[in-house]
Amino acid sequence: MSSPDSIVVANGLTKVFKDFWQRPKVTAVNGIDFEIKRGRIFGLLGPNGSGKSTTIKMLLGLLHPTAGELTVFGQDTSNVANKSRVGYLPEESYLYPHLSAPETLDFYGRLFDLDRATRKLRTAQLLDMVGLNDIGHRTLGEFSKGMARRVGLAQALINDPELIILDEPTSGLDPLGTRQVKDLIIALARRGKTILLSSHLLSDVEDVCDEIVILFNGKVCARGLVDDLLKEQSQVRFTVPNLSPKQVQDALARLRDICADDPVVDHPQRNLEQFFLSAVRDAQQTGVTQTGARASEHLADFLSTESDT
Amino acid sequence: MNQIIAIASLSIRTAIRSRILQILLTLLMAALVVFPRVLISDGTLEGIIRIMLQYTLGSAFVVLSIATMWAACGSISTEVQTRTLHMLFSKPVPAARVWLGKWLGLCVLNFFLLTGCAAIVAIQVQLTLKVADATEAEIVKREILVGRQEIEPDDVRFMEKTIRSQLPIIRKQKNIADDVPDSIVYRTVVKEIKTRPHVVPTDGQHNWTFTLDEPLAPGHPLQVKFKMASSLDRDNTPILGKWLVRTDTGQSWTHQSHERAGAFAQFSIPYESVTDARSIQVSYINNDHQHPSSVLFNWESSIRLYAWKTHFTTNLLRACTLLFILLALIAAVGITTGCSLTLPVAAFTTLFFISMPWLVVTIHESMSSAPTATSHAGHDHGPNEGHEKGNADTKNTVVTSIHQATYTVLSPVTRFHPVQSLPDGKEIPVHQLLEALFFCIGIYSPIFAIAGIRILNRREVGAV
Repeated sequence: MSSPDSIVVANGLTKVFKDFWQRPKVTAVNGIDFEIKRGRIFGLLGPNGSGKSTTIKMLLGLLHPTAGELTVFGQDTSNVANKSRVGYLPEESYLYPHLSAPETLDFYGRLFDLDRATRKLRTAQLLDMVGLNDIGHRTLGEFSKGMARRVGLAQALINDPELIILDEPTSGLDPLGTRQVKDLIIALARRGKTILLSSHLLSDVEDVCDEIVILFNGKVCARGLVDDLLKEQSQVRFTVPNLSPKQVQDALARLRDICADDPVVDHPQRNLEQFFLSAVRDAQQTGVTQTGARASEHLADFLSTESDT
Repeated sequence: MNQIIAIASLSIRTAIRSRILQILLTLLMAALVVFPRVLISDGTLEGIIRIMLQYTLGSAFVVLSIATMWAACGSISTEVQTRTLHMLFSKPVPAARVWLGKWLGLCVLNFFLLTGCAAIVAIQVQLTLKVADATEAEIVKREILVGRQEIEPDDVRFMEKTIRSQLPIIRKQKNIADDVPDSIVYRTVVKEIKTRPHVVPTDGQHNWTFTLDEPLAPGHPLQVKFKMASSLDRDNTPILGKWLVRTDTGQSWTHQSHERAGAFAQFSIPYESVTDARSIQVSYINNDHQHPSSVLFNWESSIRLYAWKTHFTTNLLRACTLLFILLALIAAVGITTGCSLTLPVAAFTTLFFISMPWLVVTIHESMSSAPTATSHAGHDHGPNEGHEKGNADTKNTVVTSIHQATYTVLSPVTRFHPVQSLPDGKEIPVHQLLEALFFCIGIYSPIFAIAGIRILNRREVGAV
């Protein structure tokens, strides 16, 4: 199943949680197979308790598989050195509340053995990227959930990872932040990063993922390319500039000659996210001072491109 | 190394910014500054300084031990609960470095806190001496603010060797059966000896011989500390007597004594009178004709010589180093228990591990002093008695072996008493520091480290 381009390979991956007496308690992941190829945005979907987080924890070596095979960059997940190529954003921001944002990034940078100058440069670029460069030296304990989430995202990128694992990355973010994170994910993928995105927010996954696996009760219940899975093969839609009522009637008459069913005509609607974002952009242009996080529009410069990796 | 330092500095930074350190500093200040002022001493400068050295440093050590134990137990277990350890283990950090980083962080914190405590104690002592009477201050400097070697009389020091060498003769003289083990005979003889005091009647004398292992430090007097009792109720009247000191180099020196019974007293022998001596004989001559009575000296603890070895500052630093080593061991035990247990359970388990050596030593001492049945004649032997006795003997042997092994492994930790040595002006020898370093940092801490690292490697951190 695996190819040289595979970053993550899972074959028959199973995780059974046991009780104190080592009796099987719950099967969180039940013989799943999947493969993540380099440069892809891979979505891991499923309702609560479907085994998404357990799978991610096994990928990071935080849990040991009960059965099956799981490799990251062709290595067993217990390989510690391999983790230097991985960035991880957990579903909650498990960060040290006594540290400020720069201190947090500096700490995680040190864990990757980055030198002081590199840490300083990357910290500044990442904080700018997630919109926290003006936040000063407030400790994370004083941050809102969304701001802590941004720090979490920044720490996941401090080592310029090849594989980025994002567990519910938009949880706790406002729509603007959510859009920025989604844009960031797409931009990272364009730079050749492989991204594993776990979420139950379907719109997030739909907007950014190339490929998905849907888990239910620890098993894979659907998989494939997002475009293929969502395409309605039985229908065709035309989008044209606004027409007069007579032009519409003429077009409908012609279509009725071609197809048996009655064609449907309506005005396309913007979704609420798009409307919200345009409203906020208009407000920003009026020069109102913003007190929270405001991300820059570009990626941190140090995040390498595909050719570098 | 960068990762270890990062984790260590994170621990320090977290501690500094948490309320725990503020509470700890308040408790330490209370122990170091308030406590000696609240405690009632005997009113003498000596008493005040002793309290400062023993109780302040002792209570500071107790506060630091509890804080270290709690912080060590929580350093990993709290991170497991708050899941910050997920983040740490999702980075390329081996479990060994996490353990070492946590331990190093606690050690650095303890180093600074202990240094601060030592500085406060030293400043308080100096300030107290400054306002004290010059003569009293001089005595305190000579007897307490110093590091002296305690020398026991040869009959106490070499008692075990002497008795053991004479065991066959004692057995023969007392007609002891062959199946009574030497250890029981030895214990019985020691007990007998210790209950007999040295009695010096009027016009009588008693001699003690002291062998010096090293030459005396030039310029420093040799001190004699003694305690005697009288056969009469003397109603606080001093006992008159004469001390005669003779050396193997032919020098001699005398001292007239008029000390009260029941209290420790000291006198100094000038260095010039004992120069180059390697063996010193100290004699007490009872010449109290005003109140004729016998003078009694406890066989084991009535007399000691004290030879100058080092300055007080050096001794204080050595005491703090010993305390630091013990705290490092507590930290190692705490971190390891915290690797597998939640905070309160880990703290109780750590407490158990820490108190185990003292428990084993206490059991050992009570076993050593327990009376043993040694009668052999006049018994009716039942048909199964031999078999039952054999079983009991086997069980005894197994239990004794286990106990002996545990005692051998754990008892070294109980040998270090830095807080008790300081107020007596006793030197903490360098070899004791090396011994503490060897056992606590070289053996016990690595054992706990290996156990902790193994637990961390095997544990599924993500399961919490």
